[in-house]
Amino acid sequence: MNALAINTLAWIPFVQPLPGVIAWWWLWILPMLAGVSVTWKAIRLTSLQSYWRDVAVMFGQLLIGMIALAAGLMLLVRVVLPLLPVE
Amino acid sequence: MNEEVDEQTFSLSAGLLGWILPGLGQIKNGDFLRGKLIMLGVVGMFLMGVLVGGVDCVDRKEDGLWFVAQAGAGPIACMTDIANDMLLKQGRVGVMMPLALANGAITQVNSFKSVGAVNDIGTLFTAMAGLLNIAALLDAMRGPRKVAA
Repeated sequence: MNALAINTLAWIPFVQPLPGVIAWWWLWILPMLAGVSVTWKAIRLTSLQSYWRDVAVMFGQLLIGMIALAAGLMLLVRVVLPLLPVE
Repeated sequence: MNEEVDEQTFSLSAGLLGWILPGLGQIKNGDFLRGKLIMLGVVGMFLMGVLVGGVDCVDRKEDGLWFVAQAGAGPIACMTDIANDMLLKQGRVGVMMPLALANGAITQVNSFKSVGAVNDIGTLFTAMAGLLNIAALLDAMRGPRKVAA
């Protein structure tokens, strides 16, 4: 049994940090975007008739926005900044 | 001139109920489904944050500014902070370990303290839940939604 499996078995939920999160920390953006979309649309929509469709659209928009932001920052750090002259 | 008077209602009790339990303000205004959805979103995000980061991600003394946002989620944030104090800081769970600070002083930290990305995720989830609940309780304070004629 590896260390992660042992740590998970010994894990005390809500008291101890969840083991094995660090390797895939960026995946937690998905439940966060879902939570933000569910709450924000419940506050803002006048009628809840097309609620889940609107939540899905907002989730997609936020996800695309975050991916675009990450790609832009990656371009800046890996392409643009190395081109700058070193004094 | 045709004057349309828009009756603005203000309900402090709905705001207070929304702070005590997210979504309760909307339920008090008669909007059950909206209240349940807000409860699902805010409480779900807060619990997910504590599940990932542990109780240490809500810390009034060490992360005071984050706690301002987290406190928007209501008494659940205060209870998590108290649990952090009672369980981790007093060493009732985990093991207290010595930690050397940058100034050379030695302090004690709990082995269950969350660090790095795990703590960041937990703090962010709980703070987002608090901020969204502030928006929800401001919405509840406006009173029941008017149905379009």
